[in-house]
Amino acid sequence: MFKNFDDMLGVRILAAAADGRVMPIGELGDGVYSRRAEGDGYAVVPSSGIFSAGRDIALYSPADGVVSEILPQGGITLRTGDGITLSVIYGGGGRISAELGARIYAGEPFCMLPRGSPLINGAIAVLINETDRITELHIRSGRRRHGSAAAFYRVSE
Amino acid sequence: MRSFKYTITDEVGIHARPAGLLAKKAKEFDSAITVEKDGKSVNATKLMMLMGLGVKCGDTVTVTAEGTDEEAAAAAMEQFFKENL
Repeated sequence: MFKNFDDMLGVRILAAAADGRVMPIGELGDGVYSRRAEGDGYAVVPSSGIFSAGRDIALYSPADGVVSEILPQGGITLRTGDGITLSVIYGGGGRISAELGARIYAGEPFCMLPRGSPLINGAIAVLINETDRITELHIRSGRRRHGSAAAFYRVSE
Repeated sequence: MRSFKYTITDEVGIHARPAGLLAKKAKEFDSAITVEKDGKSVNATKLMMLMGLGVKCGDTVTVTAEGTDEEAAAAAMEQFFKENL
């Protein structure tokens, strides 16, 4: 994506909200979020395996921002410094530790999903709500650790 | 205007997946459809607002449809709630 340093100017990063496999939201296949009606971004399927199977899933903030909304039944919205609203949406039933109006940072844990919590087709969605401002979006598909870069994007000013 | 009350039976309430399907269903109609709980009313086509209502199992909501196809909209929404929530 980046040919030189100038290419990196103005690029914003979305961190992976959980350990797992990242994919563009369009590949989620749920028929609702994958249609990008609520925003564009990525989905992360939390990792499973002998070390995490059956355990609670920790969710981490994808960016620095202020918690602008807490959705009791499945997510939070963050307002970033450049006026972008990010939504982190899971199925429901999580224990959200972030407080409304609090500033949280990329990679900071904000929610714990108990084992067996409903997800969205097995994934968590991280969406940029202002799709009309997105001028470029690149999803780093594949296995990612929480806090590592899951997507790069640019927005119009 | 047509409206009905419904008591949520889904053990997680109106969470991400049914909220998305509900918003999608509401968009099929020309009528303005709202979901109200405890005096707070939101547009049923707005997924984030639906999730922001915090509707849990056992809560009773009032769904209202107002417009040219309000009869069909209310009937379809009631059917949706019964099948999904």
